[in-house]
Amino acid sequence: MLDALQARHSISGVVVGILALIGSVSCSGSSTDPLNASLTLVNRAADSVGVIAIDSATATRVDLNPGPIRVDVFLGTVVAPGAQETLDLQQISGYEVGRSVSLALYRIRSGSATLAHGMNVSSDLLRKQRFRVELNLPSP
Amino acid sequence: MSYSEAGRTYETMITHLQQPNDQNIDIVQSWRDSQLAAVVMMFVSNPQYCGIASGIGVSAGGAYALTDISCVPNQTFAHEIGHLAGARHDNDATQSPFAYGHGYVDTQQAFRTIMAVGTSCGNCARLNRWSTIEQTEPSTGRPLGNASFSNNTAVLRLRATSFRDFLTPSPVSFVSQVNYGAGQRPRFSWQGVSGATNYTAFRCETSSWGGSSCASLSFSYSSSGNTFQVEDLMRTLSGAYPPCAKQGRYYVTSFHPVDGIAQPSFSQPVVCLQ
Repeated sequence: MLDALQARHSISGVVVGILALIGSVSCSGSSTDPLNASLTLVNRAADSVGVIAIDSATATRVDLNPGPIRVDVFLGTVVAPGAQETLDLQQISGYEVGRSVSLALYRIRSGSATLAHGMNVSSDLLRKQRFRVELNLPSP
Repeated sequence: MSYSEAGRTYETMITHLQQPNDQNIDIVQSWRDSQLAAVVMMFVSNPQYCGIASGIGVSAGGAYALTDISCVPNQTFAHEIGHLAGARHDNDATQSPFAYGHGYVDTQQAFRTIMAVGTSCGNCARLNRWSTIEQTEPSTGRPLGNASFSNNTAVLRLRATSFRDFLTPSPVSFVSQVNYGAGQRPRFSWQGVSGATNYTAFRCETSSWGGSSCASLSFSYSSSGNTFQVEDLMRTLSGAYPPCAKQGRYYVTSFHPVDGIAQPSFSQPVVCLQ
């Protein structure tokens, strides 16, 4: 399926595009092409969670900001306790189909975000979970 | 240098910094060449990350990185240099370019070394230390690394020479060869080398027993634009101007700033005509 999906982006052709779509449906149970998909971030923590999503290959050469970062300049997605937010995969710089996504999770308290946890979510897991990721934070 | 960070991600900015002739801060390339800078680090103000390196274990063309100015106390400057040298995060299982080139986390004592990320230990304190097997953590005596996976000092030591030689000075380009006739003093000239702060010209003579001696004394220097000229004012002990060809040669060395101190590049002989 991945080959078909990648081919869709390197070869312009209606037939290939249709095959890719069929493959996506049959493998994941979702009708969404991964590049056009959105992550659904569900906050299971007691605090608001800030999420910085990074393409996994890029993440290997990034130094995460440990914080605290003022929330008004925090550049990630903020999810309130018990709420959910969506994040387009296309917004993740450098993301390619088949690669994992690294999520840096920040605990948000008193108007500032502090790095608390990290998750690496594989492409397969994303499909299995229908692009739904549950966010939990360790005890402070 | 004029460059707007507004609305730009780290990924975009590192591309702009590294890419020549893309109409984005291209002057950095000429600055780097003139200073023979091994690495280019641009300080930014963007809390998205603390920093990013253009690659891991790079060659000269890839030695670019960004550091958020507020993250200097977080050792991010050193962290990005580490990436360029070939060091990886503690939670990165990749074994290349060095299987032993990762950061180190001590979850029991809650500290991490420069290349370790905060997500591995609840954002525990980052020490200003590389992972190593040569030292222990001073206050606890705990290890700072291990030989098989976390030994960044070995990586840095291995890459030090290649980093130093990322940009080597251009050789001196001579405009005129050594040339003198009867009653004239030997003289020659060369073009200034990019980044050179000064030059030394010297004469080496071969003795009758086969040894050689060199002297840089009593030269008259002059420059016109980017052309430098030297004239040898000394006669040899025999009273003649120094012979060239088989008996002796002139050399010029250019000096280039490294850590603020002028270092000599290789010396280059001048062809003699007589």
